[in-house]
Amino acid sequence: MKPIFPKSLDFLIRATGAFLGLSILTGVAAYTYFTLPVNIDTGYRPEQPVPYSHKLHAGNVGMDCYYCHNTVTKAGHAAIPATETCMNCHTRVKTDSALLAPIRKSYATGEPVKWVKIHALPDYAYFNHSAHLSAGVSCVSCHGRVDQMVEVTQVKPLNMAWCLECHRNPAPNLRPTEFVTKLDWEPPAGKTATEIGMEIVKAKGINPPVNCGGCHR
Amino acid sequence: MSLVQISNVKKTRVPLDQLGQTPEFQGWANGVGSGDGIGGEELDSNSRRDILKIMAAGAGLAGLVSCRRPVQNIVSFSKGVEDLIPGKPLYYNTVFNVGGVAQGLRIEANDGRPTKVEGNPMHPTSKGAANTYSQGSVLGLYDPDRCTFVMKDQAASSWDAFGAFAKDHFSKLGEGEGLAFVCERNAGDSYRAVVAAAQKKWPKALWLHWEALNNDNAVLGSQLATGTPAQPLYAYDKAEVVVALDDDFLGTDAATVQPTKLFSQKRKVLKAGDTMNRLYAVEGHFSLTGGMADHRLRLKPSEIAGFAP
Repeated sequence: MKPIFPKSLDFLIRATGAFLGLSILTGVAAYTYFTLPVNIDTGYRPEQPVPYSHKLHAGNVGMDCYYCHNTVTKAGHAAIPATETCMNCHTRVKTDSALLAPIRKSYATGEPVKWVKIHALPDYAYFNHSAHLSAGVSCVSCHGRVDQMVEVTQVKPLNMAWCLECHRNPAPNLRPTEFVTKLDWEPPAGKTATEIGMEIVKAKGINPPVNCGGCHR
Repeated sequence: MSLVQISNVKKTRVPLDQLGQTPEFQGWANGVGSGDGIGGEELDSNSRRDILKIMAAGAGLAGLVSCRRPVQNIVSFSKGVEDLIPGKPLYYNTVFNVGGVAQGLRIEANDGRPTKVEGNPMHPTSKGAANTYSQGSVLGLYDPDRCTFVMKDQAASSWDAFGAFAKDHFSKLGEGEGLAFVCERNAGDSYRAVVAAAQKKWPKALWLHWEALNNDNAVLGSQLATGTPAQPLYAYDKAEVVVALDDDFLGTDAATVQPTKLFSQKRKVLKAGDTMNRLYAVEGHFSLTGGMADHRLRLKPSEIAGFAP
């Protein structure tokens, strides 16, 4: 009796199975890789209601971060400044600039400006700005060279592995607290940043939490 | 007519037992349709189909949502608030009056909204303690039944309209004959100044106090004892024996914060030789004072006057 299916079909079935299996594996691997926070979140640069240039204000004019983000050492949130803070200068400087129209409108009407959040941690992760600043972690460690950014971009992935990297070995990211907003700070000659960090770790007894409850409270 | 629609009939809150009495609900409950004669729109296939359509559309769109990162906004103040650090509560010291007794309080406010009441530790009588009335007072702020606007003749009005009305109305009152002010007692100096000013302007007007927590009996009692009406302030920290005749001075009375502190001061035995006070309670119901008492006598309220010699 003649078989219904030819012998050569065996190879075809195996080849199809192998192809499907490989495709699924490749798909899963590609999906995992391309949705990593380092690929998805870094480089996020939304359009802001006002094209505020950190490069101009913090870089060229040399304003300190604390001038606007003044509660960052006192509270968990790094507050976005009130419209009033902008108007401290802009009642005199560039008073008729079209780009500043939303700011003037907000100042006149009391309606707040809706800035777009760039660095967003998930709600299940606790983060406190003041704790990091008093330890001596600079703005630049997480936010990059904001003083060189025309539009602020997220440069670090802000994922858990990245947080833990520093929590396990904080020394390279520590500096004296008076220099935390000096984004181009260089360690004094003859010493590396890590050596200075080690001294700070010893002096302040810095021991960042690496247990789950440290951040997922 | 579905239940949802019934509950939307009146925007004001209707107790469930009253809602059950409305003709709409009765009709729905008895299966009487509101027009089609079949038995209500629950069985109407159109509405079911609509729900399925919306569900399918929602499920379809749910996949699209994750294609773009959702935009989150940071909304800062337009005009900054003095002393406010975003993310941190602000604390205010204040005084709360109940039954004419002032309590020093410290209020926690988050983003301008009071959320928690505690006693002011710097206040001489409350010393960081607050009682049930002051603890509960914060809920009064968010009470949906609280009137948030001015009313005149059962219609909404405005403060400007009230100002115009008051200016015209009160200028015609002369000496204040037939005018009566009804309010709650208040221990504050500003309140006393307002009363004095009003009485100076309208000498013949009446100033009446009416409130839920009242201790007129105690004031009249002190008049019997001393000849002048006075608000009694008991020195529980000096009393060896306290007899409470239907007086819940540790629980629901207006002034409980200071009496509790003074009473417990004498109650504590910290070193050898300290004496302890003794509390007798005579009352017709269960109270905290009765629960604290060393000896409690249950008596009808009508018999308590007879118990007192």
